[in-house]
Amino acid sequence: MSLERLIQQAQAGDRESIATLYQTHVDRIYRYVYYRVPTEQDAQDLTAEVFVKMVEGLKNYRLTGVPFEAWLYRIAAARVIDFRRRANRRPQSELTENLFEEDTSPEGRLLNQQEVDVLRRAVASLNEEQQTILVLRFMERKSHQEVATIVHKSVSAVKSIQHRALLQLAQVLGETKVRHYLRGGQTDE
Amino acid sequence: MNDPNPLAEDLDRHFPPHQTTLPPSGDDPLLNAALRLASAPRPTLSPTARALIEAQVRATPIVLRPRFPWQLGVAIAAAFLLIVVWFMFSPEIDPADPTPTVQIAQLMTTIAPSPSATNTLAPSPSATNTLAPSPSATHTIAPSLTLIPPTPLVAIEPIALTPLPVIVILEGEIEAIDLNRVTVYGFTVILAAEDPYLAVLRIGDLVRVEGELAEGRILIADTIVLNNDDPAQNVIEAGPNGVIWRDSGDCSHPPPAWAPAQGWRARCESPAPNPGGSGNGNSNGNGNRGGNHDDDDDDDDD
Repeated sequence: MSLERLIQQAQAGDRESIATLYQTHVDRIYRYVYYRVPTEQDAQDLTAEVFVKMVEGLKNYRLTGVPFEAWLYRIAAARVIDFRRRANRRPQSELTENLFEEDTSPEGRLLNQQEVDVLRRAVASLNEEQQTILVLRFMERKSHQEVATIVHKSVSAVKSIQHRALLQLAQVLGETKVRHYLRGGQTDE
Repeated sequence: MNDPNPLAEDLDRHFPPHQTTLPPSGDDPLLNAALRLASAPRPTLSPTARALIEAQVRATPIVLRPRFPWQLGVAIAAAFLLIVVWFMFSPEIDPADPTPTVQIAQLMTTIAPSPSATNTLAPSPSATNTLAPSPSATHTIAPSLTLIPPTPLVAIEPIALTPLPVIVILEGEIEAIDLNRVTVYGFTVILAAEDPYLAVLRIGDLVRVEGELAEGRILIADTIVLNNDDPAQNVIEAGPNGVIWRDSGDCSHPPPAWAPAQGWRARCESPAPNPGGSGNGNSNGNGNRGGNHDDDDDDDDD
């Protein structure tokens, strides 16, 4: 069944179509929010919020005119921002065990968790827009055009933001000797 | 200044979209930072968490998109079509004309139709062929009318016309008269119902009309004047109580006392020459001013 047909049936109130939409997109949304919140539980809660909002907003989806996945990412971005606001008013704790696709051994799980913590802190140093673009471009491997559609910006704007975000991320991650890309006879640093 | 395009091209080469391949670590810190993100552990939901979230999603009340009832759509379309058809085929409204429709004044009034005597006059064919008819047009009119009674009552249908932005001055012979509509040179000239000329115009009169042109060779008259070759026949006097007197062109119909009618009086009341210098003439009542005229005047003053 095509995605369009699925969406139409979901808009008509078909629960199975809604469940199928959820199952199709839940992993991507979960990964999208995972590195932007402190804990796995936060990621799960936010993922649930995104899909609840999806059901509540399905009736208005056609009015947006953007791809369904991009619409979901926008809902997720809004939920992350809202989460940050709420997070400032409550204590944070990690109560659940993280699961990874490539999880194999206790040592590997520990290394993965350490890397996740590092990346989360690094990503958290970026602004919301930079976080969204880097996560979509490198973790979800979207094209610049797809990222531009989701964040509702031009491709050139996405590239500029990506450039600044990587400069900042490299510094946070301890990468040194950052290159500066120039054009028009100027040399790279 | 940093140019993001070379970096973006590098990134596209090392991290092609929709692929999971990863480049080896190099000496470019930006590419290495991107590599850290691209190779980050990919989290996955536990089956329990996935099921819990799905149950929560399924339990969310669905707000259905309101559907536009097709019956309402059909009704709106039909109403729109009716409006369009009405505008297109209404005989009094030109849809292409941006000027507002002018509702001619309510023409319900009392007028005096033209006297029956004028209906027997045959207009000159040559006069109808030109806007400015030649003097050869027939002038055989000999109206006997001097008094226009206010009866009978005639109801004039109100009409709606859309004047075009054109002012027309029309000169020609009256070909027909129908209440307040006068046909001149093929044009239907519409006069105001209260126009005093309606009482004295006759078929065959030469007139000069100035007014706004409307669709269908219709002229909404602002002014209309008699334009006969004989100036005497162009004199009209309006008296009290709506009484109209028109000079017949000869002395057969003297004006009422209230009418200056200087032309008629100069023409018909001049004392006759008295070759003999005796008492004959006006002094003894045998001149142009006769008692009969006085009698007529009394009638006119009614």
